[in-house]
Amino acid sequence: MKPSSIIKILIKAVVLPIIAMFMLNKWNLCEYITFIPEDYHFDAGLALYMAVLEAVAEFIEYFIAKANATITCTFYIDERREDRHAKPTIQMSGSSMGIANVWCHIILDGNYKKLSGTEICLDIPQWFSAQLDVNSSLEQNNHQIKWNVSTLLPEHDNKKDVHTETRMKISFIRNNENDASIVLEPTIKKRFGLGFETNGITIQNVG
Amino acid sequence: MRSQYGKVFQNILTREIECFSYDPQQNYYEVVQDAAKRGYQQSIFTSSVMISLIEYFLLNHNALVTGIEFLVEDIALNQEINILLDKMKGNGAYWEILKEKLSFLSRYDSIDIKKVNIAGRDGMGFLLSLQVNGIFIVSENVYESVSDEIGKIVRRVIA
Repeated sequence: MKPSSIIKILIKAVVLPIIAMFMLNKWNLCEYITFIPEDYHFDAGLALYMAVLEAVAEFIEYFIAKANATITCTFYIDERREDRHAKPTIQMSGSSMGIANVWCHIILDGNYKKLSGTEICLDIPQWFSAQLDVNSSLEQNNHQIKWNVSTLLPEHDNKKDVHTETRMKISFIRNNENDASIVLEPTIKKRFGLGFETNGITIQNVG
Repeated sequence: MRSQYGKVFQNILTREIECFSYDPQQNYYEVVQDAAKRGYQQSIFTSSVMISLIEYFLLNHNALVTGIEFLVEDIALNQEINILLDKMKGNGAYWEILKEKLSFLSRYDSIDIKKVNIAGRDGMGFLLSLQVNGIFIVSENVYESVSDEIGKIVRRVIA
C-alpha cells in the first residue's frame, strides 16, 4: 500500500471524526431542528457533520487528483511479457556482436501542466553506448539520454487532463569486453504532485 | 575483388555520422576507445537502420540482397527469409513483404538483424556486408562513395 493511501485512510478514520466532534462541541446544528429528540442531538449532529466532512474530503481528493500527474516508464524485451513489476535483464555478449536491445513504454497520465516541462533522464555508464531510432523528443549526449516530456504530450484543446503513451526501442553496444553489470533506472526532477514509476533494467556485459 | 572494412561512429556534439576505415587486424575495442577520445560514440545498424539501408541500395544501386542473418538461430525463420530473398531476385516487389516481415520480427518478436549481404549491380558492381555492430565490409573500389551513402542513411534514421 502506498504511503499516500495510508495517510488518506488515517485522515478519514481519525482526523475527520475529531474535527466533527470538535465542531459539534462548538455548535450543533441539530439543536435547532425541532423534530430531533433532545437525547439524539449529539448522535444526529455527529452523523450530519461526518457526512459533510466526508463530502468535503472527497472534493479535496478529487481536485488534488486532477492537479497531479504520473509518469510510468516500463522497460521490456518482449511486448507480450511486459511487466512493470519485473526488471528485465539484457546481455551484451560476443554472440550478439556486443549489442542488446530493450523497449521502453512511457505512459503519461494526469495534469498537462505538471507533465509539460519535465524531463526523464537515463544515465549511461562509459562501458557502453546507447542509440535510439529517430525521435524528436530525445536529447542524447555521451552519457545521458533525456526525454523531453512536453514533446510527447498531445496538442489537444483543453490542455488539462492527458493520457498518452509511446514506445521506443533503445539499443546498447558495449565499448569494452570486461564483464560488468549495472541496473539502470531513469529519473525525473522531483516536483510536487508528479509521480514517477519505473521497473528499471539490468544490463550485463559478458565476455 | 579486395574488401575494405569501415565502422560507423556518431559525433557526440554535432550528431553527425561518420564512417572510419577499420583494419580487422586491429583490436576492435582499441579503435572504439580511440574514437571515444576524439568525441565519437559507436553507432549501431539497428533493424530499422538495416531496412533503410537495404531499401536505399535496392533503389539506387539495383542491388540484390544475398543473405540476411538474425541475432537468434531459427532454422524455420532463415528458410522463410531465404525463400523471400529468392523471390526478390525475380520480382523486386517481394521487398515489401520482406520489409514488413523484418519490421514485425524486430517490433513484436525482438528478433533483430545481425548481418545483411548485398550485391550492388550498377557500374562495376560491388559487394557489401552490413553488421549490427556498425561494421561494414565493402569492395575497395567503392568504399568512399558507399561509406558516404551509409553515413547519410544512418543519420536520417537515428540522428
